[in-house]
Amino acid sequence: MRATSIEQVITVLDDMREVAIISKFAVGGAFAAILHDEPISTVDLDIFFILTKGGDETILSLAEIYDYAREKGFEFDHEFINIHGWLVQFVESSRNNLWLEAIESASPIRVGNREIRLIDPEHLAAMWLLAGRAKDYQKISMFIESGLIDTTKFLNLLKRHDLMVKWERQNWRFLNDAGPS
Amino acid sequence: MTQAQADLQNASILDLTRRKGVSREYLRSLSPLEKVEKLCALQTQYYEMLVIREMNGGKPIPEKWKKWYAARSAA
Repeated sequence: MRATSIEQVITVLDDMREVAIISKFAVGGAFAAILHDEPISTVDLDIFFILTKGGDETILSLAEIYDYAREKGFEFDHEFINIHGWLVQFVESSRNNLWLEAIESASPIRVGNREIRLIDPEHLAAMWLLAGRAKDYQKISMFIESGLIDTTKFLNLLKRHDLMVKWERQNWRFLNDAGPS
Repeated sequence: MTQAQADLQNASILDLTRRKGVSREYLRSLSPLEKVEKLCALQTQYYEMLVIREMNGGKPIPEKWKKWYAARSAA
């Protein structure tokens, strides 16, 4: 497996946007942590995206994405789409204000010969706080230790998305990492 | 533990911390594509460890890592 195959994945994602299946998208999850900080093991690539034809349905259908995968010969199940050997998990984000804002504020990063938008550290940390699993807290700790979190921006973000109570309950985990208090 | 032993232990922990710091600084300095290369290697190593764990009577390989192996093998 060559790392350059990730460029092929980005090409596919760009194509999905060009054919108007998805509108905006950005890299999140552990893969984003790797691009911001240092390599850690993760099984998949999380893509936070907005469906172009989301509509007002209560449950958004990812049928168009699966149809696209089928047409291109990418194997998939309910969890991942295998794009050139990478397990890609698509996370529709239009119903979550934090995720939506994370996509909107993502910045482009060059990966080899391609470019992809990357969710910023503060939004990632807030998303991990919201998810609240042990591995999410580990990544917050890693970012704080690496000095990647802008405290003012992060705390404002938490206030805006009603996450301050959760932060105050959980921030003891990060007190030794010189993080935001 | 004697004071000498405690000093030796503290010194070795400090040295390990320093060396880990050097390693992390290097990893952080890599380009995005180089980080992805490291990820590919990490994934392979992680899967190998899961196989060894299972072979030795430990927890089975998680389903998502089986999917990862199938995807990588087919690529």
